[in-house]
Amino acid sequence: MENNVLKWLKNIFLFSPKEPKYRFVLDDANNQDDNGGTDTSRQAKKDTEAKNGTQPKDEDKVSGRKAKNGKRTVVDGVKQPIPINEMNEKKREKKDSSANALFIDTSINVNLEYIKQRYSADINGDFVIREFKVIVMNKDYSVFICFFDGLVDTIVVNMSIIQPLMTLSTLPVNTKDQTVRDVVYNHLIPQSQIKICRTYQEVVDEVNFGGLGIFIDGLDVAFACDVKGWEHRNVEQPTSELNIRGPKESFNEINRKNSALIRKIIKDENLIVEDILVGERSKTPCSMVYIKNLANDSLVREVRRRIKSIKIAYLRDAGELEQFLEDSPYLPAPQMLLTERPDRVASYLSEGRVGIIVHGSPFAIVVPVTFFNLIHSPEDYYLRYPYATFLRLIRILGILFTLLLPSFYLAVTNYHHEMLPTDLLLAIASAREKVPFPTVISIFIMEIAFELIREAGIRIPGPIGPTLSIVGALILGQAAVAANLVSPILIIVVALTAIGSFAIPDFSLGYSFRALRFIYIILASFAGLLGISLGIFIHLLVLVHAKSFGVPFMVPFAPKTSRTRTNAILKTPLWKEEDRPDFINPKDIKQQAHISRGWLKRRGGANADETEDKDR
Amino acid sequence: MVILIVFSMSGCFDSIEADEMAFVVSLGIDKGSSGNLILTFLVAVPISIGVGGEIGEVEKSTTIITVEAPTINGAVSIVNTLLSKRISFSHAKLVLISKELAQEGVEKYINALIRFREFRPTMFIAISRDKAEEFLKAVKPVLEINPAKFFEMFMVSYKHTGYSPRSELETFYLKMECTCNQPVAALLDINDVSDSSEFERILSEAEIDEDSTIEGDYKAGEIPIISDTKSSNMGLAVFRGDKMVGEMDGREALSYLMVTGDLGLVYYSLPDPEEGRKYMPGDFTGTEIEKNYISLRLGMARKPSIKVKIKDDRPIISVSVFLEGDILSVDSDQDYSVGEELTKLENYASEHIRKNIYEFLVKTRDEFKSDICATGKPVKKTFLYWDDWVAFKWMDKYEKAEFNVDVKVLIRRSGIMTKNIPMSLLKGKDK
Amino acid sequence: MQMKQKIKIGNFEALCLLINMFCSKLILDFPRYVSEDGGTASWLLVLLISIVVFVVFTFLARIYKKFSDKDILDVAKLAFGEPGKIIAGLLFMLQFLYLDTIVVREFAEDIKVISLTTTPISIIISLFCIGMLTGAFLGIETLCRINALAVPVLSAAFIFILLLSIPRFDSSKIAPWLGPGPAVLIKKAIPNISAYSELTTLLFIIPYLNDKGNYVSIGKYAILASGFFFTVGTLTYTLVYQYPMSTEFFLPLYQLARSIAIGRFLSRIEAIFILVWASSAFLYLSSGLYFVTYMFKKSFGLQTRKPLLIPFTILIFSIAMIPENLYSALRLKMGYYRNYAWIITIIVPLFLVTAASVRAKIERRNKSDEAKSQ
Repeated sequence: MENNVLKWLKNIFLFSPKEPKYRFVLDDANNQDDNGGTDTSRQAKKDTEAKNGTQPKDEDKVSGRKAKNGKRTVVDGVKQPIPINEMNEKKREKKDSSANALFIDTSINVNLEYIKQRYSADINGDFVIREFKVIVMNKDYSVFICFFDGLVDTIVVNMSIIQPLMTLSTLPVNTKDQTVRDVVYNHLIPQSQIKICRTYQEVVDEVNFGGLGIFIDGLDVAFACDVKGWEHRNVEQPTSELNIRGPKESFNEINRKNSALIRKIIKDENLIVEDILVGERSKTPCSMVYIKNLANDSLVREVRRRIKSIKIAYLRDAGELEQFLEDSPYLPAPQMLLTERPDRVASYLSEGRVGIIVHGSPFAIVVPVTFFNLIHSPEDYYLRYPYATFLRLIRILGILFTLLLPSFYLAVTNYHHEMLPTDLLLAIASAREKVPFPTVISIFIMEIAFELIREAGIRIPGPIGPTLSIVGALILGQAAVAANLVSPILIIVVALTAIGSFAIPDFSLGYSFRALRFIYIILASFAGLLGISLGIFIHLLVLVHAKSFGVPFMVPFAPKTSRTRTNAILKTPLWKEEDRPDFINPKDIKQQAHISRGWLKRRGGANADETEDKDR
Repeated sequence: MVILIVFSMSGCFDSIEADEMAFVVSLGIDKGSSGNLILTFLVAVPISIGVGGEIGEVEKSTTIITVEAPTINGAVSIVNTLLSKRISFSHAKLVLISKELAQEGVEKYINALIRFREFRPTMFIAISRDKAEEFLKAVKPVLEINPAKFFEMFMVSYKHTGYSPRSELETFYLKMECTCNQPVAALLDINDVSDSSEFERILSEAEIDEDSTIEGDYKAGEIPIISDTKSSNMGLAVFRGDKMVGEMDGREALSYLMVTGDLGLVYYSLPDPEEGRKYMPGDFTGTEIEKNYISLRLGMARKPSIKVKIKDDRPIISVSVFLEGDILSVDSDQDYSVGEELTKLENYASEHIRKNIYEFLVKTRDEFKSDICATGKPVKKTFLYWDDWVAFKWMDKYEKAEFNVDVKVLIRRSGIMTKNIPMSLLKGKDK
Repeated sequence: MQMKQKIKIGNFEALCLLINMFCSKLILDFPRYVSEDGGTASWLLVLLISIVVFVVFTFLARIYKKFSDKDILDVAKLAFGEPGKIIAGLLFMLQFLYLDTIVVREFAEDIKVISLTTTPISIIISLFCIGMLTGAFLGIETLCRINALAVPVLSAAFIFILLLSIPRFDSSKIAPWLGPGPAVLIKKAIPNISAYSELTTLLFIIPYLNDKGNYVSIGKYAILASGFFFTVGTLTYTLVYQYPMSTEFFLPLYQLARSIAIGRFLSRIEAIFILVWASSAFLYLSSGLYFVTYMFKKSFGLQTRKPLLIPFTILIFSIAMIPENLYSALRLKMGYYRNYAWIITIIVPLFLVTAASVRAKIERRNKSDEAKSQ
């Protein structure tokens, strides 16, 4: 107990453990040395450390998600004892690996028994085992298939697996000098995705996810076919990122369909979809999507390293994966973008970023992301340039309102009366005459009431949900004014704040600002404008300090990276966007020719820089 | 977290709710007994102004408190014992100093007003010919509910009348502390006329010249006007240093604005240039005399230029004023809007205004001996060293100055009609 | 074998850092005491000192060329060894500590006068200290980035306030043109060079800049830009409030912003001013505290910098509470600091660099003698 207190005090006063926290740095595409830390180099460093006997003592203080060393270290010639949790982990690993190492037996009965025992087939109601025979090269073999009812497409199973195995062997086919396995694999199973498995674990993994295992007597391999066909949602309109222009498709919960939606947009063979399984029980398939000759290699390596090193039991959703991958979990702003729209993911991929699709979640993660990407909406690209710039400015105004309006109102009416015009001040004073609460308390009451209404509005069933919450808010506000609980000007302030928070495109960022405005209200209530400026200062400091996968969060303003127009606040016209954002360090920075509209240059007419030819 | 708790426990020292303060709209300073001051506070009552009030209760939108105390802030303390809310000057619009106090010197009051943070530099300052207390009691804004708005608009009326100067606190202070300028302030008073039969008396008491514009010749308080709002703002108070040395009427205020370049857009009437059409001097006892006037709207075409030459230790000050305007109405049948007549009108107007300005400047030199138009500024620019300028003593030299005034009036347009065909031409003379 | 993150500061960020360090005194009381010294020609005085500092800096940059990847403490070490480094470090650290305490006290007094009048000054100073601590904690890279974000906005707001005062300009207020005379101006220019006393920050961030040799152009641009701001600010102030009245106001630019009135509505814009000013204060103070702890760590060869933050913050807080009233606080700055700070800024680095280069030359000659003799 005292150790904890001591540790906490040490943390406060010394501010940092001995070893500094690991920060990934995204370097230039040509500078690919291990400045970001690959797996191997860090491992090598740790090995040399262990050899020299200088082990960093607070290894468990180093921020998690790194692969544990697992080595027993030698200090002063004495083997150090391993802590208990490490020992348990080692035991678990051994057991898993032992299970993994079991090879498939040639005898079908042994396989059948094993499968039945492994899947508890007598208890498991939806596990199906079908035994039948197949004729290969004029010889009878026993076969059994196993699958989960409900996870497979029964038509495909019947037509593509059972029927061919049972009947296709009668067709004459040249099977000279081929083994049974080859014959079966090459001629008898007309299914597009088949995997040859040597261990039970591989078959089990496939069957668990909507596959079908085929065991043939006498073969020491089994076949696992992908016949997924469960009930799932169709591709619908996005629910959280609505727009007027542009495509209206959104992801659904199957990762193959999601990656197909992306591939439909980027028809490039360099688009890589890398599969990683996350979670020991759930074994959720996640896919890392990137364009091979654009994305920075060290970025890809870092993302892969981070995902692979996650050791959890059950992964539910992309939101959970985000929390496991992010650099600073306590930062009041998200460091990854979660989006439902394949067109958005595709446009970010073509800038050189990396996407992560999680099975079971209709949200895809895009990484790395800057603060300004979070306030962009995809519709900015589909609208004309003047409207897009105007909309961006309105959105920034919305953000400022959400964060600062109640605290600004509080500071001005409580501390800086001389800043209001006299008419407004007298109006506020007269409205406040009948209200019993001080302004701070009124603001808190109204803000908390609005937050409650918003939260409750999500759960009201049926189509009346959103309408009821808005109507409820208005009626509540009106009744509060009539009952003289709050002044009417305050209602306007609170309503503007709420509306401003709806203008923020990114859901997560909106939450962060909604939560932070309470801190600003407190700051304004005891120090006026000075408190607000202190809050802005510390908030900006924290945001500028943050990094998202090695990219500083507030680039391109801090630090200034390029001299050309950046697409951060004011939109650049589409035909002027020649460079990809250079803070991502893609391999190829030019994405458009200097004159992307070829029709501008014509003989005897206006040139591309819109100067008229002298002859005309 | 601990820090946050500590801070919230320390309380909000400066946090004052908007309804815990009483906003003083106007402050009046009079002379009290034995060195004291009588201060009058005109306090705004928000309930009847703002959201919760009802329209129609205009009198209740302000309340007046008068108190006697040695200093301004001493008076504030006494008033705070009376009122439930705390007095705050941060929205005070007008400070009214009575004439007798101004003649003794206003420097100590102006210093107090400048030093205290709550008084804003853009606040208006004016001199009341009578007691300030009487003026503030009689103020009754008819067209507004908000008294602050009333004062804000009332004191900037110089922009469209031209009969009062621009007198904000900071400009007053700047001019007071300047080595080449003297301050002026607006002149306010109550106009207590109840019946139009009194107009004749007022007109006979006013100093009206033969050839001048009649409407500017009054000072505040002596204007032939009857209205519900009894406050009037006309004329200017001339200071030398910080002591008030005299008053000028509206016409001279107009000349002051023209020379300093603060003129807005004003209406100006002058008698008809033609000989036979001037108004005849006569007594005002009701005999019919034909008087024809021309009414113009004048504004500044360019900033006036002041050039000074020093000859034998006497400054020769040349003032050039450039005005432009429209013809608004012509009483007689003559068409002044084109050609030769136009030039005649322009020359006549220029001469008319020139005479006004010349008399105004002579008055400041001889009667008041104060350089309120800052004619010393061009002289200051010719110096290189500060000590030389201080040794030059411009203020004394001004008393020996000579003036050359040059006015140029250009008539640009004449309303929406290019010419006016007189009725007598169409229908024949009816005589 | 710790993997240290290399701190890199870009050119624009370093420029903004320097501009903020120089110009935050402009919104405090710089126009006022320059007016006291220079009379109606105060802007000429400012122009003069900017030119002088520019020339001196060019000269310093030329002889600093050999050491273009070391900061001034390393140069001191080269010149006089370890004791030299410690003494130089302590000297600069004292300068920055003094600056920080005076500035925090002045800013707190200013806030007390113009808005938070009843709050005890200890609370206001502690608010500033919290901001200062957070800024210095997160490191110079973050601070420079925030400077790069904030300084353009702050200077735009400043220019906006100046532009809005144009209707009140009166060119006769800066006449007589030479004020008290050129002799007095030159004599008063020397203590006023301390307006640029924060130039030593440039000498400390040299190792972190992107390209070696950049510090020359950064320094030149910073001095030019700050000179521009100083001159324009003082000129505007004198053009609106003439001498001798310009020496009366406690906060010159605040007074300027207060009187701006365009129509009835747009007349109370000093809210912008308070925000601008508080942000500039936070940036200045955090940078100052960062450099104090950095110098302490470097001159004594300590390993980490962060544990030093809290003790120094408490020190600054306590020292800032020492002066009893505003007048004695101001006298500290105007009386003592201004007269001697220019020595620390200009003479000490020149001295150290010349000593180091002389010693380097001697060593090279010794080495070539040895090589010849072998």
